Amino acid sequence: MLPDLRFAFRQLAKAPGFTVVALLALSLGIAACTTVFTFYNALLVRPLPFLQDEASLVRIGSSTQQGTDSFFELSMPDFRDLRAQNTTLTDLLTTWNRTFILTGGDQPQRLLGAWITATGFDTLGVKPILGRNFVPADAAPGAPLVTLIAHHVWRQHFGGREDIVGQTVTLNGVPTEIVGVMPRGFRFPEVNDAWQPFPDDQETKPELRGAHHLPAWGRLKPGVTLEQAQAELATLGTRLAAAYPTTNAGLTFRVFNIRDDATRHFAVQMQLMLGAVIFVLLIACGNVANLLLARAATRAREIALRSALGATRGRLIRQFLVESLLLGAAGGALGLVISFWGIDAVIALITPDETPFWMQFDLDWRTFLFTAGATLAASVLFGLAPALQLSRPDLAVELKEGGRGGTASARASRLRSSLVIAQIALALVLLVGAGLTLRSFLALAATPTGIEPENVLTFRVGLPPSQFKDRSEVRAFFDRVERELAALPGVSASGFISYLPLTENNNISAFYLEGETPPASTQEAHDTHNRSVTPGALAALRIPLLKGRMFDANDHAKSPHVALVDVAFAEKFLGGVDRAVGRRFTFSVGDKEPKWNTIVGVVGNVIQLPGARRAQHQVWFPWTQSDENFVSAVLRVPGDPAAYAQNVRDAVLAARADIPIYYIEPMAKIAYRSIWRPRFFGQLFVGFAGIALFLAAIGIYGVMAYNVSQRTQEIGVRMALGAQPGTVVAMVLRQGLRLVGFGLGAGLVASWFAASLLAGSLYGISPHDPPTFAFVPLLLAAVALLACWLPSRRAVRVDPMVALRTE
Amino acid sequence: MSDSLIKLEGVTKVFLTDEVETHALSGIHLDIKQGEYVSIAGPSGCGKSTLLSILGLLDSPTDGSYILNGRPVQGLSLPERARIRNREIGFIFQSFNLIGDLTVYENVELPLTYRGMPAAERKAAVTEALEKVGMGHRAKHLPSQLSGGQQQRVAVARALAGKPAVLLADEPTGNLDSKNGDSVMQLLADLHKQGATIVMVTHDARFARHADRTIHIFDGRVVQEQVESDPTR
Ligand SMILES: Nc1ncnc2c1ncn2[C@@H]1O[C@H](COP(=O)(O)OP(=O)(O)O)[C@@H](O)[C@H]1O
Ligand SMILES: [Mg+2]
Repeated sequence: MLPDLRFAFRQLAKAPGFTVVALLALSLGIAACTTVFTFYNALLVRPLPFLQDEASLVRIGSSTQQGTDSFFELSMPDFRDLRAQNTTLTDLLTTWNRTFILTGGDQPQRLLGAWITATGFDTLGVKPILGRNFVPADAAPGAPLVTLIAHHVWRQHFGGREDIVGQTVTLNGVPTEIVGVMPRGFRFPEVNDAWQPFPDDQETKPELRGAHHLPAWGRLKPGVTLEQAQAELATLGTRLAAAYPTTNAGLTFRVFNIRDDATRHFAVQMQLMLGAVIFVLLIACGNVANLLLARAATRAREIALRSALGATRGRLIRQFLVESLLLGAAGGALGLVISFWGIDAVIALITPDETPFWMQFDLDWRTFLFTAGATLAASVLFGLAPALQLSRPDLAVELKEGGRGGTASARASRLRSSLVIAQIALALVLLVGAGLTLRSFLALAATPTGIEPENVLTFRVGLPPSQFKDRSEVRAFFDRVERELAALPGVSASGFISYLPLTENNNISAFYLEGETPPASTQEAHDTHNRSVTPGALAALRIPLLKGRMFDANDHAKSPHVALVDVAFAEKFLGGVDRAVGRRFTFSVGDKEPKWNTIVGVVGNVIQLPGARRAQHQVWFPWTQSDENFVSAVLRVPGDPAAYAQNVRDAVLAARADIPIYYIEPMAKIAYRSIWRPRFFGQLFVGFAGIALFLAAIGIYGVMAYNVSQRTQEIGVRMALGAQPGTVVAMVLRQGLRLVGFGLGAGLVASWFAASLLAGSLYGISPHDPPTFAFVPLLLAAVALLACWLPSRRAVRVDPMVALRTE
Repeated sequence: MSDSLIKLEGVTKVFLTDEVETHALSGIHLDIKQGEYVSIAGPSGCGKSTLLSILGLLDSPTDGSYILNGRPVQGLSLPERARIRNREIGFIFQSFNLIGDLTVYENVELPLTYRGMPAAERKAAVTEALEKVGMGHRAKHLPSQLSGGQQQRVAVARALAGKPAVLLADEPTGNLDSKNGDSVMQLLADLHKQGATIVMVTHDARFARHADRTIHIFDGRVVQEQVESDPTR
């Protein structure tokens, strides 16, 4: 083996041009694979961090009985019933995100807190690194308020002091004892900073059974399968539907493995990405195999000689495999290094400021194992073809004086051509995928959102309800803030909105119209997005009033309840924009005495979230008739909204010194982020398709250049016989175009089928989108043509004198 | 000298490689008449092939003039030179230079194709040329299925097929054994008798006898011209 290795080294060093191009192709392929696998691994392979025995952890939610893909959260009454009545789960847990305002430092700090059912962390199998977990007694009415904090909060706000446990701090104006610090990086459920036990006396009112806002998890009892748990939950769902038909008729419960749930928005895309980079690697393997074949041709005589001296076929193959493994190892190592940049580049493309705690994109042994495996597989793949090819030398031909290896080289040339055809076909599949993803993203980005996000600054602020129980105090605060914001220099419009559009936040409620038969259950009622808003916020976002009137000072808490609807709502439920004003609807499904809301106007449509599949109609309630504790403020400002951050912070601090503002962001940034996922996968896809195109172009160029160099003598003879330069170029081009034609043909067929895999993730275009299928092959053909044309130019420069030379 | 086919005056060829000047040819004067059979002899490296390549318009002289068939050929464009090669010159190479992927027939047809000759005319010309060299029965064979002597006969047929003004042969027997070499030489002699103009490079004095005239070159200069008195003629 060692002499083989030494010889292999010498071979690579002897042909630096070959080695550089082969390493470039290979390391690009490996780097692409390693980069994507790092993310694939983090999301879909390696155990979720911190959580014990992930396989038995499940996510539980509500669903309509028909809608297999409908999934929404539980209500507290349903949660309590499931928890008490099930026999398949050891325990259930739920969380409810709450704003925790930490005071006592020089500025109030807003922490993303959560209530978690007291045994929740025990069920997940996570222990604090300092102090203790919650116990059920912590959640009992009257128990002293206790808090667990995340590791980074401990470090940033409490200096990482060992004696933090037992300290009392003020959260939302209430003293609470810190009983523990969770492990570093643990921020369940996603990016939380602190936790308190979910109080037993919260969310107990029976009418809350229709309020689906609590995400729930559970752990399967040992030996219980997901299917068994699902079956039992369905039974419980039927029982609850019978007991509480108004809220639960037509409802059931669904259970998923925790990871399947957490990754359901991108698992398919990740699989497609991994498939895409494996294609890239295959294309790179094609390049290396072709280079090896070309180089092997120059070594045909050496090999024939080895054979003649008695080397067996196995011995020759081993020599070749050692060489390709050596090349592979170098390419793999280089690719791994390049992938460090690739991973950073991809992380930079992930737009959200914070990713859920369980997404950790560091390399682990699985990545290294994958890279090693991919390298090994690639080496065998690209090494084997030339090895088999060459280990059967035609001794008679090769060793004959002046022999030019007619039949053996014909076989090799067919193999080289097939490799190029395969490369073109693979590249086309990737390019079509990229084209579709890009077109889908552009369609999404071009969808009108209904708002004008430029020059709008937003932030969130609120008074925690546990601390501020007096409505008039809350109202006074917001009135004051509203005035302060309006008075800021340059602000042309400003106001509040309960949740910003173009975010995942939404509020969907069941309703029916006056004149309709009151539905027996919320499932039979219509539903709609709803928000509360001030006229100033609608003006700041430039949502136009199209009919009727805007909210005004006469719409106050004591006056009849009014609402605005959007065009989509008017058209879907009211028979058009012109027939909306004056109609009434109610959310009081199942109530004997419904609270009616009178429609006073129609405003423009606003997209909730671009690409969302559910209907996007909505109603707007006047801020003055709702009682929100938290709002998003929006301000239209001249110039860069970010420049106003300090002004608005000061304005709110002027209203109350103990209330922080957070999520201070230009609306344009939120709009940009709302389509980050399709943009992200689009960018990745285009990037990898670009690499594939580059590699395929190198492949075509290499084979054509090699063909020309192999045919130097022939071309010289043809020119000596009087062939015109154009004829020679055309001859070489024709040969290349045949390969390109076959490659494009095969690639188109493959793309047609592969495109169907994308069907689920495309927006606004068909997977067989004609412009994509027309333009992308043209692009590839143009690049391929260029890659053929460059070497064909060389054919013209062949000196016809070569015809006179004898080898 | 109205029947002069090839006229070189003061032809010089200098190769510049890595700042070394090689004077491959220095002041060559040459006059070859229609129907002549000229052999060029001299030691290896003396400039024979260089001279032939200039005659064949594969290369241009550094200095001097070349008149082919009454027409000066210096300074012509690449396509023009290709056209002249195709119509006026028939090449026969030492290493045959048949194209391996083409049949015997297609090899002979090649220069005619480049000329844009209609298919029917091509067929007649190819068949005639192959008959002339005695290879008519091998038209469908690939070069690799022929012996060296047979391949060179096909190469001669290819050179003949277009009825060029002159046949240029560079060591046509260099890759052949003496029996095959003799028979190719006999073929050229026969062609000469039928009126072909031939310029042949050879270092073998035996074959030079076939020629009307032998030009001896040494170090890029013509050192001796010798008119053969061939006893067989
Ligand atoms: N393309 C070239 N570049 C540089 N030198 C050349 C070239 N072709 C021929 N020569 C040199 O010119 C001289 C004459 O060569 P050539 O005509 O091939 O000789 P021969 O008589 O053996 O056919 C030799 O010294 C040769 O090395
Ligand atoms: Mg020579």
